[in-house]
Amino acid sequence: MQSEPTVYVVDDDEPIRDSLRMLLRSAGLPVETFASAQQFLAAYTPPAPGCLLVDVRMPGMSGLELQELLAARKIALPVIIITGHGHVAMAVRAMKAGAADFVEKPFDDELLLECIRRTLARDADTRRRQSRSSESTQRLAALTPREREIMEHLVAGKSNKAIAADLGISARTVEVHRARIMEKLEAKSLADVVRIALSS
Amino acid sequence: MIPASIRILLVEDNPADARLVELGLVETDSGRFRVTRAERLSEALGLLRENAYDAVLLDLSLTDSHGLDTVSRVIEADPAVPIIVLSGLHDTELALQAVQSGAQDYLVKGESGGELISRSVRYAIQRKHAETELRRAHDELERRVAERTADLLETNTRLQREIESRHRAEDVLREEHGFISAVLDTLDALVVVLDRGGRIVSFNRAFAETTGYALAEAHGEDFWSLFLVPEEAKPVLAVFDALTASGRPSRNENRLRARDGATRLIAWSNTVLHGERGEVAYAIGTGIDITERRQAEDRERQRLLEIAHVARLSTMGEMATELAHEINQPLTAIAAYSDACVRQLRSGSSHQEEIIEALERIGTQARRAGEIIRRVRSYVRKEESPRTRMDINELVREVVHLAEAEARWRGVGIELDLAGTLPPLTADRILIEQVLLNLVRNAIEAMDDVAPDERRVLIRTSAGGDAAIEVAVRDSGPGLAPELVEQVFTPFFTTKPSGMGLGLSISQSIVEAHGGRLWAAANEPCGAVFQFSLPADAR
Repeated sequence: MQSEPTVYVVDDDEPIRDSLRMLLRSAGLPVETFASAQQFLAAYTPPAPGCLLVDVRMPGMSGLELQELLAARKIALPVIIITGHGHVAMAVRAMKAGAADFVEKPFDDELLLECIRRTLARDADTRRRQSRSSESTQRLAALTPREREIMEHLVAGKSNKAIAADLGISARTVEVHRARIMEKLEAKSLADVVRIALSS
Repeated sequence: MIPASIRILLVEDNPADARLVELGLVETDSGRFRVTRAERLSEALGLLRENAYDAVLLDLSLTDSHGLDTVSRVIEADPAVPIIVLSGLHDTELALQAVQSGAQDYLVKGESGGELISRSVRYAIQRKHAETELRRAHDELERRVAERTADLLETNTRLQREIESRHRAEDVLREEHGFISAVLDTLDALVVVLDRGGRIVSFNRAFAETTGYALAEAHGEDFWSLFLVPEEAKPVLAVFDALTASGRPSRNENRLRARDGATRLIAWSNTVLHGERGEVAYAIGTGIDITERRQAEDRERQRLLEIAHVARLSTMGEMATELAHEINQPLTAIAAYSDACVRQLRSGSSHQEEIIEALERIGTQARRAGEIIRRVRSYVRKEESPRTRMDINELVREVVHLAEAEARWRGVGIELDLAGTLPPLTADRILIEQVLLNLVRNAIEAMDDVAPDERRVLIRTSAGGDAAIEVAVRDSGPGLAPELVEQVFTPFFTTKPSGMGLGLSISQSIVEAHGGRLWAAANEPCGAVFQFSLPADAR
């Protein structure tokens, strides 16, 4: 599975899959289609980026069930639910269960594409944040308990002198720990230290 | 006639007289006569019984017999032998009496020479022979006369009996004719007799009362011009022609026009009466007035049609969500294809092949939506569809199309087992479709509690016995409790949270209105089977 963000379409109706594939490709979006939730699950390898466009109403596993399954497996692929006309209740249920959005059949192409692009953008953003967060966590893990303690004081906005007084050590020692912390966190400024500490 | 050797029994107790006779015979014709002599009658009778003699010369005064008695005893012993009595000179009177009682002649002893004796013997033989012949001829004549008389008597008796029996038969016929007429007049059924030309020969009281015509005024009139409405004359004539040509009984229905112009609908049973040479001589129609019955049936049918229509509308209401989804699918595809085409054409990056293919698919999807709408519209149509010849398998496929959205949504697989060849069936298409859809939807809905991969509906068509078509809808649901097998057909009975409980009741009425039967049973190994049979068209 390519790492390029892809729209995964899951619908049991072949003409719908085929027409969506053509429409999304015309809009320059990579598409893969599946006739059932099971087919999609067999083919998808997390954490490939993109979004899932799934019909709420399908024999076998419905769109909602697929959404719940992904959540249970902690697969963070945003889900856009396709509903038929008059299935507002289902749409509400899907949104409550964490769906990114829902679209009604028949589609308005502008609205559909906008919805997909928005979801893809959000997915990309989330992934960026997630990767940043995991980087920060790794760097923070390198700190000693003492360094972590001092970092927490720094993030709280205390001066070297205040920290030294609080911990009963010399200002000079705090100075050395601070330099070690900046080095380990690859931070260029105190602002960088605060960002990394908060993003973990 | 005279034998060459003449055997004579000489019965004479006097040896001298006997000797004289013997000598006389020898003198006359030596060697020709053979004389055997007996002295007593008893001896003579014994000889007569054992030997054949041509003549007996008999003395009437023997030691053991006297007089005429002697003659009669010899005659008794041998009736065919001629007797010549030998009499004394003074006994001629007795001798004459003997001749009268059967002897041929008599000779007076001592006066008769050989010549006389010989001649007398010959004559006696001849006479006796002639007499015997005469008697035989007479007897023969008598016998023949008696025979002919008996024949004549028998013929006469036969004739007599025949005459009597004919008289009796005529009486019986006369009696029966009156009797049958009286019986026919008591019937409520109409009876009319036509000759081969279709002219009125007779009809009964019921016919007269229904039409307002008396037999006397209608007799000999043309049945068609007098009693039929013009537009039915032709088909009824065809029935009549077929009947008189084949002689096979037939049935038909037609209206009968009364004198006042009113018409009654009559159901006829038609038969023929054969003439003496086996030809069809008369056509006989026996009819029942079914006017009111048919009107009641029509009203009943109308009511059923209305209820059925309401039930179809209600079914479509229940299926509205599924049907809307089904129609929305192709519309969605159409919208997406056309949007994609517009985008490609606008951006100038279009591939002609891809655009053409998309347009073709748009057409296909539009027709798919149209087909669903056509099915629904045809299903909820109100007006009575005429009974038409239909293919039950095609109807099954149509129903499966209507129900498959619901089946797919509920994860139910529908399997078909359709008979290759089925007898033709004429029925109200929409009503039978309604029955089938009802059974199929019931089957689909019965399996909500069954594991998803075990939800199966099997629809099977087959040729039943007695020229019927059978359709069975089997499900793999929980089945029917035995006490519910009959109850499910009662109106307002339902096991579903929604639904009126009228589907099966209406279905049963529809099938019965077609002369068929709808029933339920347990399916093997699980589930229920609902099936109906419809009579196929008569060949």
